[in-house]
Amino acid sequence: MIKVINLKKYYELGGEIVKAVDDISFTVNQGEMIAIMGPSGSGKSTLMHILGGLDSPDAGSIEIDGIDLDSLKGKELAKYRNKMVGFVFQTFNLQPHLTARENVELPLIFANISAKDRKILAEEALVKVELIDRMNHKPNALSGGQRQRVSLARALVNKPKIILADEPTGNLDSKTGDVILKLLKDLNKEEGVTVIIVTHDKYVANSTNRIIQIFDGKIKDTKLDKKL
Amino acid sequence: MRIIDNIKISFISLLRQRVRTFLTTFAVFIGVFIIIFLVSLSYGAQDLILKQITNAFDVNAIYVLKKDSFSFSFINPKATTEKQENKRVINNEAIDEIKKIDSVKEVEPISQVIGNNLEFKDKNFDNRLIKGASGAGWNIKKDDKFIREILVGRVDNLKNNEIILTKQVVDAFGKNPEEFLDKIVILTDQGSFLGSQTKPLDPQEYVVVGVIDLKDNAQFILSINKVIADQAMKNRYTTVDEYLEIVGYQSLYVKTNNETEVKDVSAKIKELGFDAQTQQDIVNIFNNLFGIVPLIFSIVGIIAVIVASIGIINTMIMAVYERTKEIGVMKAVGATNFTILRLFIVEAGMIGFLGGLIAVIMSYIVMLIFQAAIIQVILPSLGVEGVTEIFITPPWLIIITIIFSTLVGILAGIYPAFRASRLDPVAALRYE
Repeated sequence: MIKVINLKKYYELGGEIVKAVDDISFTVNQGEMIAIMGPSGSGKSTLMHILGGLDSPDAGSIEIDGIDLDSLKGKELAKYRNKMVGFVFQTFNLQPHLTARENVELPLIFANISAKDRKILAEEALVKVELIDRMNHKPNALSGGQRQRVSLARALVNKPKIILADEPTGNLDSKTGDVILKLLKDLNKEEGVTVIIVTHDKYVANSTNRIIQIFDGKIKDTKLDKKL
Repeated sequence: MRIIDNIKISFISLLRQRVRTFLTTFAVFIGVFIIIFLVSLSYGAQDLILKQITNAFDVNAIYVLKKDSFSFSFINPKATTEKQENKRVINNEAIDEIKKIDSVKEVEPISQVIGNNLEFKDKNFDNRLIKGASGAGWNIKKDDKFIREILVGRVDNLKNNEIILTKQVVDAFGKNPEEFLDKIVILTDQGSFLGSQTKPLDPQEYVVVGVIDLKDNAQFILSINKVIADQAMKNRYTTVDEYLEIVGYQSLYVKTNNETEVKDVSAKIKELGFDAQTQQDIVNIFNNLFGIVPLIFSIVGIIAVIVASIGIINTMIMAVYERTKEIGVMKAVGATNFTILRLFIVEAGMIGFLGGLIAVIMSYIVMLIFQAAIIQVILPSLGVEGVTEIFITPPWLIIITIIFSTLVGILAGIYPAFRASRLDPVAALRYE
């Protein structure tokens, strides 16, 4: 379970204080699939970075399964990112010089897993995203949808509890976007992984169980199982 | 992250910018190459000179000179403080004293003869003469270790009007040793330095009684008695005895019964107030003087490698900029700051290591080629034979240079790696 309590994150931009996350509180249950929705600049990406342990809040706290994220430092935080969460980015963020399989292996390398086991786990993940036949291709030899599937395989290879997807379909056409959404849904249903999708796309948001709407760093509305 | 993965990822990263990696590695390579090449050359040269020394000198022999004659005044200022008059003269009394020392087998005086013109009386010799020939006054024996080979004739019991020529002279005339036997040689004293009180000797005729190959660069040998008599006359002494008493012999060649006694005998001779040098003493002097040469030679290369480290720093800073986003991704998927630090430090260390490794391989090949060329082409044309090695590369030199170049790479990588490790992951992920 994820508990976000009175979370705040302010920036200074050109002498003005930007309240990227302004006193946000919400809870996500294990195995839920939710969307955090808002226009660009609403603070949803900042929220996702804090949830993923890439950024730290100025105030408030995040508890993941009873652990206060703020209490994790350096190595523990890296371990949290490695084991507990999996990131899916809008721009895929694959290492261009590595093959699909090597990209998927990257989190496993940082988890000290042997080359032999990495190969097995990476191939398993690539089977799940139905890209095993392209595993020896480098990103530039893959389509956008395929790249995002590699990115998804990389996110799930370490069997995380949470997948954080930042505009996962933003760079894809609707058809390939649907494939990615379906994969995320399957993962959520079959493996019980908590999926949090950050999006400004109503269609994407509607494919989840719950939508948290953010405007100017504040929660505007929370709808459970309701379509916008 | 496992070490093997660290090395693999760093290596793959290096290969991504091949030209840049090559150029940066090349700078390291040049420095290490210079170190290995020059140090190996100086070791080779030292070995060659040492072999000459140990070849030329008899291990059982001790060379006796007046006190402090072996010292170098710029190294040993003491040498100039003691007055010449206080030093013991190498006269017959001294020879008798040295002969009494246990295990001394024989004592032979030797004096140098310099500044003579050597000319053949025989018309067959094209009137060729050797200017400024140098020789020795020495009652040489046929079993002396200084003699490499007696080519023709005899060496023992030289009379005052007899001369032994060396292979050098024979080679200069391009004739067979046999053709020199019984020929008449005229030695003309070339006089002395300006302002000295000596009287030039009249030209004198000598009969060639033998030709030998000598482990020394003397061109002829005369009897010691004749040389001393000439010296006495030249220096305006009325009798030879007077000359010997006041000036004495130039040096003594002392032979001991065996090698183990050399040190003791040498010490006893020194107690008598002379300078004594054994083969080991000369080797030690040489080693003391030239031991520093490889270090001096390697300084050029060491500086080159250190300058190359600036290139490594530059390359690595560029790499950090280019891979900012990748660093962000790595952090997002679980890389710690230390992991990123390691990746970049290993990458920089690899540039140093590769530069060193390539330098070791290339210097080996280049030294082989140089060595073959020098031994097979250049030395024979200079008349030098029997040299088998020009370069000597001790194994530690290879190990040290590779460790050194790797270490320089690692040190050069610290700052860029530190910058990479401290990148804010969110900012890095947004970096385009």
